[in-house]
Amino acid sequence: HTEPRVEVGPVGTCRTRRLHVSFREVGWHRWVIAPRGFLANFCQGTCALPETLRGPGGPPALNHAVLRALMHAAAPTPGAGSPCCVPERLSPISVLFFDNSDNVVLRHYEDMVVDECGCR
Amino acid sequence: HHLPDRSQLCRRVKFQVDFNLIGWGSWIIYPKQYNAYRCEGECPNPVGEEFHPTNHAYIQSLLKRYQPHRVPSTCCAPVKTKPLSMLYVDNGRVLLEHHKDMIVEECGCL
Repeated sequence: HTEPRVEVGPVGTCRTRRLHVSFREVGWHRWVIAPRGFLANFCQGTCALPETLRGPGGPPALNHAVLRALMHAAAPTPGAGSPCCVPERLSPISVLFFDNSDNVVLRHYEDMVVDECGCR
Repeated sequence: HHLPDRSQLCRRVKFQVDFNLIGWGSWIIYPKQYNAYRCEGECPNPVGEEFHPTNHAYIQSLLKRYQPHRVPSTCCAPVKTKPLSMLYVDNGRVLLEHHKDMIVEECGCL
């Protein structure tokens, strides 16, 4: 697994943030043998105009997210904010663990690492 | 830890998009407005299967539960969308096209 690309863009906009998670921190350390943790990353940042409009340096955005941002800018509705900054592309990791019968199992877990964030 | 009541949790709600309002009315012939739906509400920590979390979202929600300062909560966002057929003018031509990801079908915590 390679590190996610560094997403450039205006400060505060939607992009990947670096985050290492230890399995101990989420209470999985009793059954996960290896690895002890992994680079999970997370998404944070605004999805307001003009970043949402797929400009240079902007995050990828659903068509729906673009419309939502435009409607929000034109006529803000209470409760209806900007779109969400969420994972757009994710990677798997391999985990060695004890299953319910105490067998040692190696499994490929999908969608564990954030590689890219977008506005949805 | 107080869970928000059911009605405040992540869900799909009506959301009218008005193309005239956002200044697209001059080139979009039809529809002038439509119900796009949108996602609204809180994502609980940890997040349950009913909110269609990815593995990453589930782990982020666990971490949020145990160490709230380190990550934001997951976000209520579209996990399933539908296209919309639109009739519009482009360079003098009238086109009918199917635009993807225009209508929210299902929401989840991502």
